[in-house]
Amino acid sequence: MKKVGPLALLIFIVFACNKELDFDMINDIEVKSSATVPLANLTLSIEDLVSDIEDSTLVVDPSNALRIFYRQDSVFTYSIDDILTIPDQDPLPLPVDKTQPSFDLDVALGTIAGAQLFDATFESGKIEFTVNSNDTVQADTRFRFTYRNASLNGATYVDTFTLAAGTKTLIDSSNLDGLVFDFTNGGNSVNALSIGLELIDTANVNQGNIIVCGVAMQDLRVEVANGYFGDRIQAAPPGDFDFQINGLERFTGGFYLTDPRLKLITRSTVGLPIEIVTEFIGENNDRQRVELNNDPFLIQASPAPGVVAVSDLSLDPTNSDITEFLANIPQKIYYSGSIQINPNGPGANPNFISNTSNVVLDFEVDVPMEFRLEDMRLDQTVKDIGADLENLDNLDELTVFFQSENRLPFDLNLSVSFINALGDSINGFVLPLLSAAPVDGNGRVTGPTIEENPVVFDRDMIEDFLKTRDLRFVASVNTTNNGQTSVKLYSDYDLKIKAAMQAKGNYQISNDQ
Amino acid sequence: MKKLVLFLLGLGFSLGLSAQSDMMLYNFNAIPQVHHTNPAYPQQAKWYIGLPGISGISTHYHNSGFALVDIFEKGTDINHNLAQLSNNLDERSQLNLNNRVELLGVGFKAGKGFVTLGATQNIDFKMDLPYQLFQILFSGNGSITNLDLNTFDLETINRTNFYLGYQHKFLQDKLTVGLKAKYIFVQQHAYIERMNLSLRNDGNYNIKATSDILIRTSGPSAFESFEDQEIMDIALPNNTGFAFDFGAFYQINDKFDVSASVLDLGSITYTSYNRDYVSEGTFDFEGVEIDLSQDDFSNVGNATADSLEKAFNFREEDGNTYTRSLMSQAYASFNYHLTPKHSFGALFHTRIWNGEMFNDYGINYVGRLSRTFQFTAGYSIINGTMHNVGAGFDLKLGAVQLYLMSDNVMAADYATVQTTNFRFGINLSFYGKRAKSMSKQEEKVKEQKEEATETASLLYKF
Repeated sequence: MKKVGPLALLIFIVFACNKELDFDMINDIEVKSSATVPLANLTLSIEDLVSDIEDSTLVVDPSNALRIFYRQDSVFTYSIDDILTIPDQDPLPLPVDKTQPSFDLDVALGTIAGAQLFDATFESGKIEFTVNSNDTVQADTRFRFTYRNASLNGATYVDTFTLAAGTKTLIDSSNLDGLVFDFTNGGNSVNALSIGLELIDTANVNQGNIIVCGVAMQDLRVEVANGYFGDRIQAAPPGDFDFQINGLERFTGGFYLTDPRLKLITRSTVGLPIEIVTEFIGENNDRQRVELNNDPFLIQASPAPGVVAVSDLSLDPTNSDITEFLANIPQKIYYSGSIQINPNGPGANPNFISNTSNVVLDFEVDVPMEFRLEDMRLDQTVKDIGADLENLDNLDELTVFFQSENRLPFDLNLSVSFINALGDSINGFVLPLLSAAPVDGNGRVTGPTIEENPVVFDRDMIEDFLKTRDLRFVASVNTTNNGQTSVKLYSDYDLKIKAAMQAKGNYQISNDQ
Repeated sequence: MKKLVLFLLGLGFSLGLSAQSDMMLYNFNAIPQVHHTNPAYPQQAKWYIGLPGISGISTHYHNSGFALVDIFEKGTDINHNLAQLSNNLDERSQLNLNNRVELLGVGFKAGKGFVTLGATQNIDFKMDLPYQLFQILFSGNGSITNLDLNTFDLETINRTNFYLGYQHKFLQDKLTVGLKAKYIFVQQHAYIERMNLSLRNDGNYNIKATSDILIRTSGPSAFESFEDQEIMDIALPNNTGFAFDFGAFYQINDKFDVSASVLDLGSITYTSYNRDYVSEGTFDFEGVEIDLSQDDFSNVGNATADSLEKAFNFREEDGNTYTRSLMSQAYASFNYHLTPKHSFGALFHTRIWNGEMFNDYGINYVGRLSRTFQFTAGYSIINGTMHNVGAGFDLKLGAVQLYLMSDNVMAADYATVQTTNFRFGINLSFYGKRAKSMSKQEEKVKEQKEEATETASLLYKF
C-alpha cells in the first residue's frame, strides 16, 4: 500500500492547486473589432446629367460646351380685345312725327383712348332700337333705320322696325354681324357715323304725336379695323413659370454667369407699335426675390395684315439686372406687364388689326455655361433621422472617408450640423469634400484633383449624433480660386467620389441580456 | 447550412470530456487493450475477455489553445485575458475530442501468437481553433474585413470498428510483430475539404470576398427524414472501409526494448447519405454604385445583395461519393528496465491530419509491483501543451481486472487543463499458473539465475 502513496500525494497536490474561476465575467466581455466597408461609388458625368434628364435646361453644343437653354413661350399674349375695343355706344335720340317723318344725324363713334377709326368690320354686335310714342298708333307703324356709311353684303345697311298697333313703345334689336363701316365720311373724317331714320307709315300716327326713337350699337366685336387705335394702356394678367437649371435646383445664390443674357421675343400681327413694360421677379429656394429690372421694349408693328413682325429684346447687364437675377438661381419666375399701344402717337401708317391678330411675348435664356460660383449654397435639413440608430451605441469610433477624383472646376465644402429636438445645433463637422479641378486660361479643366478627406466621429460625437433629430447640410460651392475664376462647363467633365466607412466597435455581451 | 451546423454540433457535443490517454497506455501492458496502441505489444495475459460496453471507456480532450483559467480566472480582466489569448493562438491551435467505447474485446494466446478480436465505437472530433476570429474579435486591433479562414480545418467521425488482430514472436521471442485489420462502418462523418474563405480590404477600401468551400458530410442524421430511417441503415450504413494497424516490438537485451506502431492506415468510401455544402466565387464590393445623374436610387441596395448571393453560389449537393483517409497515428517507444519490476520509457506519438503532424512526447515509469497491482506514471508534452502528469493503475482481483488511467491527472483542476483523458475498464483476464512453490532460498537462487532471461520475456511472462 505504501506504493500507492505517491499517487495519492500527487492527486492531493493537484486538487490543492485549484484556481478559482468566475464565469460571471462572461458578461464583461467586450468584442472590440473594426470593419472597413466601402459604402458607395458616386459618379456624376455631366454628359449623363444632360442626356438622362428629360426637358433638361442644359444642352450640349457641338464643341461639347454646355449651355443653359430655356424657353417659355407665350408668357404674355395680347389679342384684339386688349388693343382695340369699341365700347357700347350711348343711345342716340331720333325724333320723328307725322309732319317730319325723317331724321338724319351725323355723330362720332365712341372710342377708347382716343382711337380714330377709318373703317371697321364688326364680327358681331347688335343695334338696339327703341321707340317711345306719346300716343298709341292706330295700326302697325314701320320705321326705317339706315347707317348711311355702313354696308352689309355690299348694300347700304337698312333695317326696319315696327311699332305694333295700339302701342306706344318698342324695344327691338338687330344683329350687326359682318357690318362694314367707313368712318371717314369720304376721306374727311374719322369715327364718323351717318344715321338716317324715316317714319314710313305716317297715316297711322296721330297729329302732334312726336315719336322719339333711340338707337345704340352694343356688344361690338371688331373683325378688322384700320385707323389710329389711340394710346391705350392695357395690363396683362400676372403669372409665373418654373425655371430650373438642372443640378442647381437646390442651390441658392452665388451663381455668376460670365455672359448672362436673356431674350424677350415678340411676334406681332398687329399693325401698330406697342411698348411693353414687363416685370420679371425670380424667386430662389430660400424665397429670396430679385427683379430683372429690364427696360420697356418696343414691339414693331406688323407691316401688313397676316405678316408676323418679330422683335427681340436682348437683356444683358447694360439694360437689366440680369447678373443678379440669375445669380439668385431662380426656381420660379413671376411676371407681370402691360402694353401701351402707339406710345409715340399717330404714325405715318394707319393702324390695323383683325380678330386673329395678337402679340405674343416669349421668354428665352440661351447662354453658355461660363460662370463663376462664389459661395453658392445648398441648405437642406433632413428631418427625423433617429429611426434606426440604436446600433451606434456599440461604436467607439466611426470614420467616414471620402476619396474624390474631381474633374469639375468646383470646390465643395460641406457643413453638417446635428440638430436636437429643441432645434439647437449640438455638434457637427465641416468637410472639404471637393477641391476644384485646375483650369486653363479659357476656363477649361485641365485635369482632375484627387484627394481624400476623412471625417472622424469620436465617442462624444456619436453620443451627440444619437441625440440628433435632424441633420442640417449646408454646402458651399466655389469655382476655382475661391470663386474668382470663371470656368466653362463641358460635357466631358465628371466626378467620382468613393465613400467608405471604418467602424470600430465595442460590443458588450451583457447587452444581450 | 443550419442543418450542417446542427449536424456538427450534435456530433461534437456527443463526446464526453473525461477519461484516459494513450500516452500512459502505450507501455502499460498490464492492460490487454494496449494492443490498441501497438498490435505487437506483448500481452501479459494468456487470455482475456472485455466485459461488453465497460471493458474500455475512454475520453480524450485536448485544447492546445487555452485553458479555462486563461479566460475566467477570478480577479482578472477578461478582456485583457482574451486579448492575450488571441495573440497566443496560431494556425496550429487545435481542439480535439474523442471518445472510444470497447463494445466487445477478446484475446487469447495461440502458440507463439496472440489473437485479439472485437469491436469499438469511436467518435473523433478535430478542429482548428479559428484563431483569426479570436484575433479579430478580441485582440483590439482586428478587422472583420481582413478575415482569412483558409487554414481552418474540421473533421468529425463516428464509426464502429470490427477488428481482428494477431501478433507473433520471432527471433527467440525477441521480436514481436503485430497486425490488426479493421472493417469500419461510419455512421456520421463531416469534414472540410476546402475552406478558402476570405474577406480582404485592398488599399482603396474595397472588399474582395473569396469563397471556395467544400464541406462534405455523410450520415443519415444530416437528412430531414432521419427519423424514418431503418435502424440498420443508421447503425451500419454503406459507408465502409478497411484500415490496418501495424506494430513491432523488439527486446534488445535484458535492459532495453524498442517498439513502434502505425495505426489507422486506411480509408472510408462514403456512398450513402452524402451531402456537400458548396460555395465558390468571388465578389468584389466597391460600394454601391450611384449615378448622381439619376433620380431613383431605391434599388441599388437590393441589386448588391442579389449580386453577393449569386457570386458566392451557396448550394447543397446530395449524392457525391467521396473517399477519405482515416486520421493515422504512429508511436515509437524506448524502454529501460531498471529491474524486472521497474522500467522507464520514452515515447513519441504523432497524429497525422490533413498532411500535418501533431506530436506528443512523453516519459514514463511502469511499476510491475505484483500481479495484483501494477502502476504507471509519466509526464507528456501533448501537441505543445505542457504539464501533463499522467498516472494509471491496474488492479486485479482474481480474474477481474479493473484499470483506470489518465494522461493528465491534473485535469482535476479543470481550470488549467488543456489536455486530459481518462480510460477506465473491467476485463476478465487470466495470466496462467505461477511457477511451482519452492523454498525461499531456492527461490532466491533461481531468481538470481534466471533474472537475465526472465527480463527478456518479463513483459509477457509476468
